[in-house]
Amino acid sequence: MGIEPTIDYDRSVLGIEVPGEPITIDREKVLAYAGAIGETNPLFIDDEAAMQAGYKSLMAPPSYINALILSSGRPDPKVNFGTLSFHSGQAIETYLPIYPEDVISTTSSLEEVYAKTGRSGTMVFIVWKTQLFNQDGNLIATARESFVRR
Amino acid sequence: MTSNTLYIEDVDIGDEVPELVTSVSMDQVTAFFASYPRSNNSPATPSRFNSDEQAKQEGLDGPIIPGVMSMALVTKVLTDWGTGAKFKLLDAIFRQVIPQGEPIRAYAVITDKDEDNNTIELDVYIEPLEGQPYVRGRASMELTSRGN
Repeated sequence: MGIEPTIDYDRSVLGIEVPGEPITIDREKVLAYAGAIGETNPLFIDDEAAMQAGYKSLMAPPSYINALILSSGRPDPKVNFGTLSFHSGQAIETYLPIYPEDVISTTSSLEEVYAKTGRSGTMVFIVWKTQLFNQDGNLIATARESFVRR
Repeated sequence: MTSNTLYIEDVDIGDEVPELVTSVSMDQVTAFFASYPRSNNSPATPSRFNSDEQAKQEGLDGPIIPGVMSMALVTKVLTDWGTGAKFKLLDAIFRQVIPQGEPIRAYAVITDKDEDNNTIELDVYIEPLEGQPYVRGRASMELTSRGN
């Protein structure tokens, strides 16, 4: 294994928990999201069906947390490598439902930035962790995402 | 979606979750991003997701499906499976870009079952109809028990 290059980026961001701007969940946006992915599960589109199943109303599909993460903002670590960035993977874990009118807060932290050299050359990976909380301060989901620059 | 209740006692390792075969258009991708909480109706900046020209400038064959939308499609396969199944976790790697407008197949296979905790583990995939997976990962779901 060779020595990976030193990566130029803003290290002041590393490991710091940065709060995002709180977001109030809009029912119409949730329904629009469900429509965009062809959602047919009544728990995500029908209040009555969701209440019959024991929930207080329809709820956002689990993957909606990505919409919240990307909408809440996070700092730019200014990684000085490559010209293209791609989303290379993600882990999401959910604990509680997200309902319309909930107010969701996020905290994001840059977990690591590292280089990896393979047959196609050197790539730099940027890994973020985000936690999402509802208005009661309960943790509702966590997400860990990696982006690759080349 | 199916309306049957899923019970942990009725599923086994190796069972396949019903697949979703679809293709995603640029209009769908646009609607997906427009549903984000802080989106507005102003024209989007040209990107690899909404512009053939921009995608080609980035060395792609054409516009692609965003990774977050592929996560949404895999999650939908799991939550559409049946009532009483709760999504817990999805951990996925985006191995190749997914072109817009091409048929894709999303599915999952049960790889482990824990009847004490009513949970199952699954391998998840998004593939072209022929060829190597675009997305691979693992997921965890909680099912209902007949004993509860």
